[in-house]
Amino acid sequence: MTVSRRLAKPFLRALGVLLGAETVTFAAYHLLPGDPAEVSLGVPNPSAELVATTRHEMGLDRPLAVQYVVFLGRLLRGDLGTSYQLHEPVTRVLREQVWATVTLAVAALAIAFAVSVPLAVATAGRRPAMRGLSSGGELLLTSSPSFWIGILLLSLFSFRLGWFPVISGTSVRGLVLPAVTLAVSIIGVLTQVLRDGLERALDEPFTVSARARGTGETMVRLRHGLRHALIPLLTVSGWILGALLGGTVVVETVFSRQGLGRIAATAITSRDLPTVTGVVLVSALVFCVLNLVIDVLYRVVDPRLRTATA
Amino acid sequence: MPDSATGPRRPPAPAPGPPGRPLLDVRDLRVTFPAHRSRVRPVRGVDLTLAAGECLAIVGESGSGKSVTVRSLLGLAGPRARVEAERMDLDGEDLLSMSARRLRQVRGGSIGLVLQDALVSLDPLRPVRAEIAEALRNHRVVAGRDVPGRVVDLLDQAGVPEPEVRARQYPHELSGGLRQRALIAAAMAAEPPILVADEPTTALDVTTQARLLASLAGRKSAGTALLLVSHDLAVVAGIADRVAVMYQGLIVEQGPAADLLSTPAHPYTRLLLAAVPSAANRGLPLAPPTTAAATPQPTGGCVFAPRCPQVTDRCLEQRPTAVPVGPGRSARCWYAEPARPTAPAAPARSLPVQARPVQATAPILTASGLTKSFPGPDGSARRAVDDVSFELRPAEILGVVGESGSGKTTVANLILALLAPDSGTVLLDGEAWSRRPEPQRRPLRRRIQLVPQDPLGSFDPRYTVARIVGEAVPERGDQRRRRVAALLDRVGLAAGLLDRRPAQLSGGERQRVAVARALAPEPAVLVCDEPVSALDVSVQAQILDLFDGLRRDLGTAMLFVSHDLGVVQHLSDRVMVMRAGRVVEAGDADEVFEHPGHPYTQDLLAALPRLRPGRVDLAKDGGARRDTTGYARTTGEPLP
Repeated sequence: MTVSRRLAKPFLRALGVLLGAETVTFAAYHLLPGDPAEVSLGVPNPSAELVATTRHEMGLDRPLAVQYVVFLGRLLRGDLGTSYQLHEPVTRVLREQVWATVTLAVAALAIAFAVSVPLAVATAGRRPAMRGLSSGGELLLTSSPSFWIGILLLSLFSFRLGWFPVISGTSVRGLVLPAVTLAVSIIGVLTQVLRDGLERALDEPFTVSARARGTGETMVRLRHGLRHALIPLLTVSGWILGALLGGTVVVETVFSRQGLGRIAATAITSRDLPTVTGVVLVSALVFCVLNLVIDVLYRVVDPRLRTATA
Repeated sequence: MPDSATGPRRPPAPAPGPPGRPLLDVRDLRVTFPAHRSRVRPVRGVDLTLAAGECLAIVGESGSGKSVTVRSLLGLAGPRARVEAERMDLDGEDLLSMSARRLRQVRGGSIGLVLQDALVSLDPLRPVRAEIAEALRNHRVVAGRDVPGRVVDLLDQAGVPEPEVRARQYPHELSGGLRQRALIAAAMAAEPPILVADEPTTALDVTTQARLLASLAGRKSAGTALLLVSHDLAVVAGIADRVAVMYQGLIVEQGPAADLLSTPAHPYTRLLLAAVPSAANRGLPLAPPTTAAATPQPTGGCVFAPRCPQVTDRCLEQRPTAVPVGPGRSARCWYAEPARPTAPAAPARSLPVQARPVQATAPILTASGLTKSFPGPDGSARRAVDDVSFELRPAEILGVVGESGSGKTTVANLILALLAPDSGTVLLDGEAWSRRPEPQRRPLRRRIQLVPQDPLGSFDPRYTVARIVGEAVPERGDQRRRRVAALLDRVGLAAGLLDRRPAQLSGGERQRVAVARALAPEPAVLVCDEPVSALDVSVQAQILDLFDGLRRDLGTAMLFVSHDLGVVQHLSDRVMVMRAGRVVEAGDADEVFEHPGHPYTQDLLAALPRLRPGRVDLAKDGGARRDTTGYARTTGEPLP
């Protein structure tokens, strides 16, 4: 199989996912009660005439099939339309918001990794007391709601100690608390997955071979165990990162941050179709790209997958 | 015995100590694992010595404690293991009181360990050179920049062709034999004076096994002390100087290989020797009838008493100590006496070879011109099976032999109609079988049943034995349960196993359950795909006896696929030797094995491990070949 054909398949699949996501958004929007034209006008009790004119301008009086085709045609040209609510092009709205979300998601994942990896390596299959403590703590963190952790952190570090700003804004200092809040909820899952993978790898005969060669315990874990544990870890972190990039409404709200999550939440309640469409498109795109990247990373980590699909 | 300084490539071999002192000296080694409310004692008092240039083989069935014994030498018996010994000295240095740091130097530096099945014993995510380089760096054998070159040298010395290419490859890209060699290269990288090999050839074909054993013998003659662990006496016969037979954590017999194999003193050694299948003992049972499952003896008596054919009251009450039974020999038995083995006990059940199918009966199964191709990695078609034809008559066992990749399993799948042939046909009872739509074939499927190699993988782990076998039984309710119990009885299992789950069964019990399930719909043909290759010799013997009994009592015909020539020769009436998808030789089993026509068959036979060590013949008869054991695998000589 040629390289172009091998690349074509995932590309087409991603296209299918995007089309599917947008179609569902379009359908949901039109199935919900309420009139977008009234929302778009933004005035209380508009006259029936005005509403009718607006409906005509927005193309809402045309048959649904025609609206769908027009909708897809615009998407293909990269024209996401103008937000009904903010009266700004959606592409600009997204561009302004996406950066805040990406920073937050990546920072949160990085913090989670920095804690999870040493924790799992230290406790996998040894130190029963510490392992039990860590595993109990992970369960507690995973099951605590992030808004609550967020509020705890805020009241301690912002209100009482004053180390970090109450309203995050876009500063680096403002990033710390929201990122930690998100990381706390991820750490539990990541550590569990990683420790489980490590323990399975350390049970395999090749680790006995490695030890029989005089390799020390830490090197056995880092060199042999960790790489095997990376495969399930990749799967989980891909999903987590995707979910984070799709917007983290709760944390953005608690810390009054900008971001895709808040935009999406307001857009949905105010029936702002262009904005919702844009957010869905970005989220779906993020998931497709992450999937591709993770597929590639699987092959980097595990040579057996390279030959299997070659 | 060649001395340790012969190898010109071996720089300062860690001093083998003053002459007479063994490299390894172990007295009363005991290993215990904490278990639920009690302790498991896999090793209960083992004495071992090993000198440079010597090969000691530890032989025993799985669970005998042989792997735990050798792993505890490197402190690798497991984190929960408690290892105690009166003495455990490596070249005069106590292994038990070593610091963790010193122990890491010993691992790989003084003792190299090679595990079974290199596919899982080499890290699948790293190229083989990384594994060898790891050993070189751990022990600082050469300067960092010389590591890649040394890796290639080591692979070359281990007999790996094209070492530069192989070094860059991953374990899954190498054949089983090459993987095992790479593992040996890694274990020998720091040139340890002792090499421990735990079942190094168990996963390999006969020819590959023979080459690997030869390469280990080369290490031995270069001065390396070899500690070989195996469940198969035949494998170690050609290479071991001394043999220690282990049973339930004790060495029950120990002595020079030639003496021990020709005149075993312990009943268990005799049982192991008798269990080796060959043409000579065809039609005869390989294992004594099992009376009780081998349960550990919690109190006093001899560990082997529950399975011993010569058991007396004394054996049940007092544990025998190791008594000398000849020069350098000892055995743990009250009645130990070196004796030539006789035919196994209970011949009453056996009818000798006559039970051959009558050639005049019509064949049940006729395969003609079967061909099957699969797409290769580059997209081109690769012929897995090429123009294979045969017939199978009632009560006949047709053996299919060949190395892995020769197309044996594809033939089995074509016969089972799990694959459709590209061309050629299979007829069942004279009617179309392969070329008919599946809905028409389904009611006939009960006529052909499969006994798989790995029964564990073919069982739902959540099902009980009653449900696993019951699925294949047409009856319902109580009747079903009675029928299942009857089937279990037929395969020699107690009804008490009905409510067990697969994980709670031993390997032999699982295989018996698989046979019971295959028998449930009363098939005319059993397709057995490597049914005994995952089993110990002694368990294998029982399963082979079972197959022979089924054929005799029920008249079931069998297509018996195996890479083990001894097994095929023991059981089959006719054989088909396959290579690269083609049948290179076929015919009557005796005829093919005694007068192999094709060079490939001759090679396979030559590679077969023999129970008679060659040196026995030389020592006793000045070179004249003599049958010393009567258990030679390769020729059809009758028992003495």
